[in-house]
Amino acid sequence: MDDALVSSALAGTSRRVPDLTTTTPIDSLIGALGDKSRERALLLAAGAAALYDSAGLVAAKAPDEQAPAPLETRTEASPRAAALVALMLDDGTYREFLPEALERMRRAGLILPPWLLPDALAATGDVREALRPVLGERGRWLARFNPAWRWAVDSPVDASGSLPDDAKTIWENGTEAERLAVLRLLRRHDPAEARAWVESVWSVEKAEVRKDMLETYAVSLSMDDEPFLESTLDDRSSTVRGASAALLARLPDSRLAARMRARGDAVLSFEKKMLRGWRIDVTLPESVSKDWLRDGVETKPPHGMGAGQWLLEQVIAAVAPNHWEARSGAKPRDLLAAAAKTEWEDALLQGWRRAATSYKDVDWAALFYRRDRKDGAFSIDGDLLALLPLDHIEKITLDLVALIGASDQNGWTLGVLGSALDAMPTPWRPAFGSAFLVALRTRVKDVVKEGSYRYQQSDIWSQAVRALPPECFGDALLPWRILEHKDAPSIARQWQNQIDGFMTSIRFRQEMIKEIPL
Amino acid sequence: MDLTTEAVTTLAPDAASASAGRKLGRASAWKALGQDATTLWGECQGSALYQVRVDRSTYVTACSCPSRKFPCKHALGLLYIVADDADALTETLQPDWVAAWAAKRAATVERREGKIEAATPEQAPEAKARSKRADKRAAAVDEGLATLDLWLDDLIRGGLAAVESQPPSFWLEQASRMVDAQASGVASRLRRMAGMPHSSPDWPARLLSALGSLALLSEAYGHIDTLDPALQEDVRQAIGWTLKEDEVVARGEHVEDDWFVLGSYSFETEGEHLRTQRTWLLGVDTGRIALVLQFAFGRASFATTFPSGSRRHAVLAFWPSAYPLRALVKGGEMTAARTTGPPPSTASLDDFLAIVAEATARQPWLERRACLLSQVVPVLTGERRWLLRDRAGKALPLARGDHWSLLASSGGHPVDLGVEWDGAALRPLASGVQSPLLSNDDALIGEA
Repeated sequence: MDDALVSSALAGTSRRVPDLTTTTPIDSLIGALGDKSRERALLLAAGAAALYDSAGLVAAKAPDEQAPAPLETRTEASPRAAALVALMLDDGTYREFLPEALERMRRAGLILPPWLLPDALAATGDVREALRPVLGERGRWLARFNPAWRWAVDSPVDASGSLPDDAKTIWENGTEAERLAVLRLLRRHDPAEARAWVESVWSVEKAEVRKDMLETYAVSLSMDDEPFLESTLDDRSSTVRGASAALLARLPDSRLAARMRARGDAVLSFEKKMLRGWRIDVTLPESVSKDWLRDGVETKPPHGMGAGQWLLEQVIAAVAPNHWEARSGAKPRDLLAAAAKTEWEDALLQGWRRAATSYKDVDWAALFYRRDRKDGAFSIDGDLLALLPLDHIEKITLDLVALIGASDQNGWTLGVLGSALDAMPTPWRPAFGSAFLVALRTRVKDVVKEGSYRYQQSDIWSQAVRALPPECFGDALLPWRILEHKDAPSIARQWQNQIDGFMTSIRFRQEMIKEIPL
Repeated sequence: MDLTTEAVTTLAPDAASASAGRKLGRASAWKALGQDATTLWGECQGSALYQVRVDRSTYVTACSCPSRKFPCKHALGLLYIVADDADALTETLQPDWVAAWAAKRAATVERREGKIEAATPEQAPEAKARSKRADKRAAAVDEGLATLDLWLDDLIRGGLAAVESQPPSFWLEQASRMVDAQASGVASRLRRMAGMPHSSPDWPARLLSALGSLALLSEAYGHIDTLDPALQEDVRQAIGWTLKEDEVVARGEHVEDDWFVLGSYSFETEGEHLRTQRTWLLGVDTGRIALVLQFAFGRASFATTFPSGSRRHAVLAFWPSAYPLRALVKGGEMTAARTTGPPPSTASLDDFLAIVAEATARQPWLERRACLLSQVVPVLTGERRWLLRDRAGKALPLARGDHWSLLASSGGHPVDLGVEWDGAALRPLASGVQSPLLSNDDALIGEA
């Protein structure tokens, strides 16, 4: 559009006679207008000029070519598999299966198709780790265009295994999270090098970071770490000291462990009585000396606990349970019985429970995994249960299924079953899976028939969906027979809703596994 | 009007709306209640003042509230008032905000009925009545355009700088007068101008172009009989005349071909519950481009689905025009395609712009045109501008917004892409799963 026309129009014809020369063929058209008002002439000239301009438009020179995406080396997942992943990325309901689906894709050497990449790159949270391996060359190429998608191109510290080549660079220049991730990986491959790295930056790091670094020592923890850890017991930060003490307590040959054992020996004495079995005497020191504090013992007890109880618990928790067997000659069962006769029972039991967990003592775990309450209910410690042999865990879990609903005011039977299921490694063994489904079917049928047990919200259904192996899907999808109790029809409906949700999820997982074969 | 409370309740989309509507069914919650032969209306004070109109014959409602339910609780409230007491609404003249809606609906309904009505031979009295209506309309348009010309002259006399500070109502009032004059095409041009001042650094040139184009239209209408018959059709349609489906079939060009779907997009008209879908088709043998328009109210779906990248054999009937573009599928019938080879594509952006120039020369009021571009690459520059680059190394801007799906599908490699050009930017007609993109070796991806 001619500037003269625009400025004439802006000013208005009342202020200024419009200049209608455009030095284009339009001028002859304007000349042929004849008797028209100035306003009309200006508007028509502008209309013609607009057409003239638009007809004369040509494309501009493009900026220099950018490098296209490199060719893919892996195949795309099937359209149906991609559609399922798309659904899970959008829809909260099946999101829990997304990590499994992506892991399967990774193992099958598949990548996402291009159309799904923008949605995948927009994902947030933990799922990014699982998405990285399946983005393909195009995903990484595309991610470079959007700052929000940087996570896809940043050096992947792949949790599943090998140390990246630029590990040292990441350690020196990366973000907190990246440095810790690479340190954790290095601990697995070369603990000595990891130690060297940590020791070289120790004095300049903040307390929070020092604690996080210490926690990586849990990977491949060994006596080689002991000297450094022992030295950090003098650190000015209490959280750092606490982290070191916890680690050292797990090394039976460490100096701290030896000191704790000595303290324990001073505090506990054992005696075998002829007729009355074992006896434990507790002698706590009058005051806690500095070396106790250095080893991570806290003097201030948690709310509701006595100072002495707390002290005893901490000492016991730091000593391997089998030390007591060696020192006294008593069996774990005997020690348990003896503790019950003292006024220190709670502290002893809690201390032994913690010791069993950190020292992974199977015999003691078997005694302690279950905590009985006075009203006949009990709870399950999943960490301790997980230490037992798999056969035992499976048997205990099946027994818990049979208990559902019995004497259950608060839904605790579903709760303990949930804790037990948490302790089971996934996927479940097929024989267990089948037995679990049979037991659950039977129990649900009886419970509904009894009409006494109102269903409580529980995770066991989603746990089962995730943990059942594909061999058990057929069993899971067989119809569940629920007969209503005439006085309580809503009970049947509640269970039925849960079962319907369970079966739909199983079908989804089944389809997903079929679409992403390994 | 015999509307009962029960009848209103059955109109409600759900129980919650019905009870919310009943709460609003008291005259004390309303201002400006009114009715006439065709319409009911009122203004309801909610969290803002919401304007409701109801078409008496079809009970179609329109409310300015943001609710996605139809009818919304405000509309239901108005209907409950009427059901209780028909006299609660005073008989009076429609205020502007009602008239604009009613007239627009009349134009839309006419369009839709044009599609649904079967071709029945006209009886003599019908024909006479129709011709009388046509004369009446022509007279209304003549008068309307005469006032428009005066208004435009005034505007230019005062200058665009003076118009810069005018509120939107300056344009919208003139637009509604054009609607009253049955020149709805002119009205929508005026409405678009309302948004131009200050919208970009070059707004004076853009506004002047739009005003100039409108003046040319009015001028052309003034001596329409001297124009080529085909161009006369374009002028009438640009003013706001519509044709019924059977008229298009009777008078327009028919083209039989395999029609490849370049793509579709839909949008909602401001403040209405009317959605429009534009689908661009490309004839595989003839290379003809066609635009199919569909309309739907509220959440209703469009009558025909055109999956991108699919092709169907059909006869299209084009609206008569100096450059026929808009078309309908004759009889709504489509059968399996007979061809399998790739559809004809345009080799470069400048080739496309030359085609557009030729089209504009033949039909100056053409607003958009589409084509299948071959071997183009979407580009996102460092300055965050989206462009489409052709194999001749030239580029045109892509429409506002992000084009991640397109960039992902292309991966920086050339693709064949259907696009729509509106004079300023290219809108890609496909992206995502059903992409009609053809890979370098011409294999069709996503064929339906």
